[in-house]
Amino acid sequence: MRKRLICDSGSLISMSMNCMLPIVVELSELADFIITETVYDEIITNPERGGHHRMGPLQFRALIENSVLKVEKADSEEVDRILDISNSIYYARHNRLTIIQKGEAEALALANDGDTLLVDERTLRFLIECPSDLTGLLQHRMHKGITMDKKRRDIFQKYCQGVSIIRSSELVAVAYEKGILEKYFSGERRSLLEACLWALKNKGCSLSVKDIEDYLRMIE
Amino acid sequence: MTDINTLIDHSVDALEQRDALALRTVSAEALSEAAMDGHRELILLALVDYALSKIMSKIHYKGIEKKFYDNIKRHFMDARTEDKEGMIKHLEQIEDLVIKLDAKEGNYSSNLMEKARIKKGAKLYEQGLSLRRAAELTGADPVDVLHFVGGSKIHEFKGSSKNAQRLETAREVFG
Repeated sequence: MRKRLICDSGSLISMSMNCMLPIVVELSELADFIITETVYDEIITNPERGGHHRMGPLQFRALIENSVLKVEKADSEEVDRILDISNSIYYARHNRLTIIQKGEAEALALANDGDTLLVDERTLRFLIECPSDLTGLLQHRMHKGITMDKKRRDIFQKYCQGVSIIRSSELVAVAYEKGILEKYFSGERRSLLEACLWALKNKGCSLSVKDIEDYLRMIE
Repeated sequence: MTDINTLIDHSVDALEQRDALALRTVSAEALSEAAMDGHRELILLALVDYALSKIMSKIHYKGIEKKFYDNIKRHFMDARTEDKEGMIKHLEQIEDLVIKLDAKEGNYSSNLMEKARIKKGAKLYEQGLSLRRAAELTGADPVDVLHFVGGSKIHEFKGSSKNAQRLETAREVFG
């Protein structure tokens, strides 16, 4: 059975800015790339209305017309529930901290059936994988006492059980292993991987220098 | 907790002394408060203080007339006496004054307020808000915030590493 990848806008935009969308096209032969309605607005409708990022929508529209990206609607009640739980986990001075928005909640609602999320930004990733890391981050950056409602965290974590997360860097890593990178970029094979990972990092993928070093060590 | 009227008072002091660093400090404090409750007036104050600090510290803005700063000060003082809605209106008028000045004197196609939105959006993301939330609060284009973040050390935060697990997941997804 084909696996499903629920894609966030940031990951797709990073790939588009780095001329890596052909990788998505190739990998879509092996798994379904799904986007939510909010992500559709973020990568197509909103940039088309104005601003200076007009190339992206032209590319993404073509991917949708060719069924490389498929749009799915998340259940609105489930989205509201996710928003309610996730935005009442952390408190600063007894105020609820709004951490995530509808876009992230929709993606999570779709991915809840054991699918994988493609997310480059770190906040949702921390919230799902390691909420205590997010507490540390909030505390460290806001210089304020952050408290966590452990009961709400447990409800959220239970909900997210079975949801796995990858970033655009993992797409590139798999594309490298499958020989896809060499079709679109020319150079010494190993340097292709390194250059692609750095390019994604520079466009905002939450990769640290150590992450890149790890991948270069782990991947043959 | 510092209330917004105190932050506006500090902004006026910094403005009178043309103290760019003090304005940056007030901007950071306003943003930090805004990260918690998302109040628009705090966000606006953080943005205009940041933009004004840039105006004060750039050589090509040195010749701007005293009238510009007097206008800004008047809006700050009026904002202090208003309710939330009126306060927002005055802070938005400061925004407009900055945009107009920048259109006339600035060296770049993107204006100072846009830069302030991106910078402060990235700061909110750094503080732990999601990219969408950070962009929504500041009014920045999320793509611009993402790129700004890419050029920073924000992602060097040391969390739990799950690289091996993530790679394995990706391999499973694509067979």
